[in-house]
Amino acid sequence: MALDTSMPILVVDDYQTMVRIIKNLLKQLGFEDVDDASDGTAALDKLKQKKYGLVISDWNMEPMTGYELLRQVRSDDGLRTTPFIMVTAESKTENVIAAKKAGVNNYIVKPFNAQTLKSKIEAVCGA
Amino acid sequence: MAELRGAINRLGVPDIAETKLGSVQIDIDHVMQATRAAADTILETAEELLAAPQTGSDYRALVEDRMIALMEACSFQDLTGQRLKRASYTLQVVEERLSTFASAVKAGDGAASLGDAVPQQAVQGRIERQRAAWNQANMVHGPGGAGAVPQETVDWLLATTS
Repeated sequence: MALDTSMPILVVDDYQTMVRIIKNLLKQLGFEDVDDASDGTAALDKLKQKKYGLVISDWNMEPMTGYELLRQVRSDDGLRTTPFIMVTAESKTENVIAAKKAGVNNYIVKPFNAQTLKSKIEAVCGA
Repeated sequence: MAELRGAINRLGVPDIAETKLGSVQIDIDHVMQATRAAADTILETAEELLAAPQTGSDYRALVEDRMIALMEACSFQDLTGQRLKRASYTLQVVEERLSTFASAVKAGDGAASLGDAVPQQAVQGRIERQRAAWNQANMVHGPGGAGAVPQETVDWLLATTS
C-alpha cells in the first residue's frame, strides 16, 4: 500500500527514549518530516502551528494525556480530520473503547514492533 | 487500646499485604522478564551481525533489518520505567502509612502523640486519593494488570465498536 512519506508526523510521548525509537522506525519507513512533543499541551501548540498528516500519541502523559489530546483535536474545526494513532501501554478494554468513541483511527499496544507500526500507518494513511 | 485499633485500621494491612505489595511483586517480575528478554534480543542480534559475512550486497540489508530489531528491543525501557514508577509510588504509600502508624503507637525517636498522627494521616490519604482520582478520571492504569488485552483484541474492539 502506497504511503505519502513526505507527510509531516507528530510523535507525542513523555518518554524521550520511546520518541527516539518511534522516530527511528518512522525514518526506516521513509518518513523524514517527524516532530515530537512531550505531552498533549505541547502537542496542541505544535498542531496549531503546522499541518500534520498524522499524530502518533502515547496515552499516559501529564498534564494533558493522549486521550485528552485526542478529544481536543476532534473538537477543533481545524484539526478534527487529522489522523490519530494511539500508541500506549494502556490496553484495558475501557481505554480502547473510549479512544474509539473519541475518534481514534487506530490503537497500538506497547510493546510493538516495526511491522505493527507500519501496518497501522498504512491502514490509516495508505492510499 | 481503642486508639491502637484505630491506628492499625488506618494502616490498612489487608490493602498493603494483598493489593499493594502484590502489585509491586507483579511489576518487578515483569521488569525482570522484560529486561532479560531485551538483553537476549540485543545479544543475539549482535552475535548474528558479527557472524554474518561482511561482503556482498545482502550485508547492508541484513544490518538495516537487525538495527530495527535492536530499536524494538530498546522499547522495553518505556514499559519497565512505567512499572517501576508505579511500584515506587506504591512503596512510598506503604512507607508513609507505616511512618504514620509508628508515630501513632509512639515507636522510634521523637514519636508524636496519637492525636498528632491523625492530621498527618489525613494529608497522606488526600494525596493518595488525589492521585487515584486523577488516574481514574484519565483512565491511566499503566502497563498490564487486570483487564489488559492484547493487540488482537484491540483490533477486534476497534472493528466492532461504533
